[in-house]
Amino acid sequence: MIIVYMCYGSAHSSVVAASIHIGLLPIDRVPTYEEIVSLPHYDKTSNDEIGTLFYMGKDEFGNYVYIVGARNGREIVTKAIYSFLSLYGISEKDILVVDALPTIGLTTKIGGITSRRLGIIFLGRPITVYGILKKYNNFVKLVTDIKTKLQIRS
Amino acid sequence: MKVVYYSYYGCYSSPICAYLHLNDKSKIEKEEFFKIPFLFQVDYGQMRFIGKDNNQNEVFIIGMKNFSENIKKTLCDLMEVFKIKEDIIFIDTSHYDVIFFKVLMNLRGKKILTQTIDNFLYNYYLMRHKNIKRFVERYKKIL
Repeated sequence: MIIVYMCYGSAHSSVVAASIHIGLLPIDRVPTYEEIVSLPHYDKTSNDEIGTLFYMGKDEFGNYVYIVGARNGREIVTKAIYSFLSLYGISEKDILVVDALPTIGLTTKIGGITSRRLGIIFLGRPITVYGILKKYNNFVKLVTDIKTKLQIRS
Repeated sequence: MKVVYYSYYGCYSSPICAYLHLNDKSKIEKEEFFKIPFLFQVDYGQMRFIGKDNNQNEVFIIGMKNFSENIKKTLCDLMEVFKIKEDIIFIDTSHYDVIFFKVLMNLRGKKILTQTIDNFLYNYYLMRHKNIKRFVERYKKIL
């Protein structure tokens, strides 16, 4: 199965959620600043890359985990993905799209705009990490819920 | 091959173009115009099948708002992930959409204005029907 974590720009929330999912980040404690910034694709995706699917890794069930950015069109993009793939007989049993954006708060959003849109990385990046650490429990809950859902399905 | 006509709303210019793709006619008559599948039916992100052309290409329409570049990129990447080998062509018809379409759709919802708005939208098509036809024909030749 393919699991796609989706957020605005595939730079912060989707990266963190996908990393927890594949075991790059812990679920029993809040990670350190270094653990977050060293994640693949963290705070790196450029504007042109929004919409590109990035592979993050494989989870313990053998599912392939990806991230993608959809700006403010997450609902439309999700619908397009499901309706398009259904033309090829690929159903929600084969792909799960998860909106990771609701996990973050205003702090990460401000940090994300500062770093990605304004290009002030030295200022924006630490703010995004601070925001994520503050809301880390939301990410753990999201991933745990998804994994429970996957276990029920299988 | 899949041919996907898309626009912001996916329920005006794209169904018209898809209909012309499947029906070889230079002008759509008024009665027929309002029978075009999915005309005025907003459903963003939903891929809707219109029919098969003479070359067995499947013709679809979709409304993508301003996220067309995102969606196309994501769908193409997913085709690679799922090893889907079929060719797909996305054709942007937004330049044949009507400005303030959403406002017109809201007004169309009022019974008293439905006919006026319908007439306007049909006349708008008539004004551009030659260009729309040429546009569709050009793509049909490429396929």
